Amino acid sequence: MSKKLLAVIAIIASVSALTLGAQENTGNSSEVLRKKGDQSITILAGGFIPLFVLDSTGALISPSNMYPGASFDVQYRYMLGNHIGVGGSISGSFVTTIGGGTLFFAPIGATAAWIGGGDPLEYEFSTELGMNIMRLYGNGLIEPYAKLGAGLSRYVTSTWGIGAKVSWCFFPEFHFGTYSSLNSYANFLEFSIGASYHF
Amino acid sequence: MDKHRTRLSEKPFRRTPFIAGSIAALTLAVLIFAGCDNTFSVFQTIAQEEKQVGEDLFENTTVRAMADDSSNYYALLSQVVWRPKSGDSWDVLSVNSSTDYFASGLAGDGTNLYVAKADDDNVLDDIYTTSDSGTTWTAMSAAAGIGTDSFVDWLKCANGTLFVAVHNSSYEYSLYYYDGSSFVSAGVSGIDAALVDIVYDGSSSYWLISDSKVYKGTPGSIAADTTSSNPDYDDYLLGIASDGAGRIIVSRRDGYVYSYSSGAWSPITVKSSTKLGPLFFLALPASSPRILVGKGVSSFGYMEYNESSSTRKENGSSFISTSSSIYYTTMLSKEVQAFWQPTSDPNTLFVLLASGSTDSYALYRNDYTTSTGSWSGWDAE
Repeated sequence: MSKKLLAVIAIIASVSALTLGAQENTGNSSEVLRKKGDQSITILAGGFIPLFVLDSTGALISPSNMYPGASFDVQYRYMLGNHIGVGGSISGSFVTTIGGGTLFFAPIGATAAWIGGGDPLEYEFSTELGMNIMRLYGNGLIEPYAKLGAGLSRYVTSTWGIGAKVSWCFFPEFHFGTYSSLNSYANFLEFSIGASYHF
Repeated sequence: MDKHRTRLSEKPFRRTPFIAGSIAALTLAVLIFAGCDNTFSVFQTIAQEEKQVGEDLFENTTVRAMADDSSNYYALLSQVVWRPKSGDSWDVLSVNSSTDYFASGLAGDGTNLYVAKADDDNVLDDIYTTSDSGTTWTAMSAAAGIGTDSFVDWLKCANGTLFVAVHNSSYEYSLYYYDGSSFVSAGVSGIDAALVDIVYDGSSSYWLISDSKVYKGTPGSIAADTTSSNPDYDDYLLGIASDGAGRIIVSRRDGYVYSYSSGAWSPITVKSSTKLGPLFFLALPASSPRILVGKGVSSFGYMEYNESSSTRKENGSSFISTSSSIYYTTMLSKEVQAFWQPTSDPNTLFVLLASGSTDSYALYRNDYTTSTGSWSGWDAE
């Protein structure tokens, strides 16, 4: 069994233990806990899967020659109301390539989310826009990016929650002039688990 | 009236930070985009990658030298490994009926193969030669001529003559050659600078460099080159190559390649203020011969320099790597030890690397196809 698989199993087991072992919650089932002015910080870690890449004509680049990697996110959220939150996100992720290289991403963006549910389970749909720093073989690019995500979390105390999130990530790269044929549009799936602190 | 004035006067204060912020953000965005390499595509570079599958023997190691005879290739790791030219499987070469040895040097002239064996302390044991691809070996009694306090730095066959570069425990460097019956001094002895390489210029002289000086002459009388404006500089010389037609080039750590032709040296700026590395004259394709220059900086790999247009190409774009992807996945972060071509096969080129801490291979091959006039790109051995 590979070390990566063992690590994933260990993380999932840890989160499951946290979930099952958490005896404390806020007690009022289905009560909407968020209100305007509430803030939260979320830390997420998980996998990062290459889905497909399109070239400048929209044709599929196949194979993409990328292998699954990992991601790490830190997100801040400020509630504008009971269900709408805005904030920022900084992430780091990587995938490996068939030739043995490693492609790094460092997206920094603004987020907006609709949050539903309440205590103990809360779900969300989020969008994220920003700039993405990519680095491969010592070459760097800074490009825009977009993410669409959905998540589910459970309050384990009145201030702490744990959960999971899945995001579709759109990472384009744009080139100009005679190099516009190098334009590419990459798509990844990010899945992660993490913890939120509400204040 | 006062209210009206107040509103009018407030407007600029509210808008100025927004406008200034927008301009700053726009400027930053433009600078960011302008700072990126418009010619480099992350995803299309990856799409052109090829999986390199090589011999485990060449993983995380350093290939220090190569040689060949009529039927086999040989490569120097801590031992000598070999494969048939018609095959693709490498194995440890048995030298004098033993595979339990440390090899400190390897050289060949296309017919004869020479292997220097050393003891556990890296002290020269002997040099062995074979002319039948390793079936029978002859000990050359090297220690008797070179001395028992000798550490072999390298072996090299130039124009059919076997040279042995050694240093002693006092780090005094000397060059010997085999005169047909014994090893004798080539003319350079007891110097305090490490010897780097020796080449034959194709007409009359052998050219040797230490890391500080250029030497020339014939075996037994090789002496410091006294030509004006030669590349001599303490601890600066890194590589030497010959085109076999009288021209010599020497690379330095300041980005210059010095070229010797028709009795004079002249510098070529390959990449200013950049440490270079080993050199090689690449004759094919004949329409655009190039100089391959190893890089001595942390990104390592090599550059290709076209003298006729004074253009330098880096990162494998468009030349013998065939694509940046191939270059990055084979050369990046690896120090070139040497480029090597088989004795009578200009269509094949090997690059010998120190793969160091990278989890990849140290020996790659590139083949030239005459009909298409192109190189195949690097492929792991």
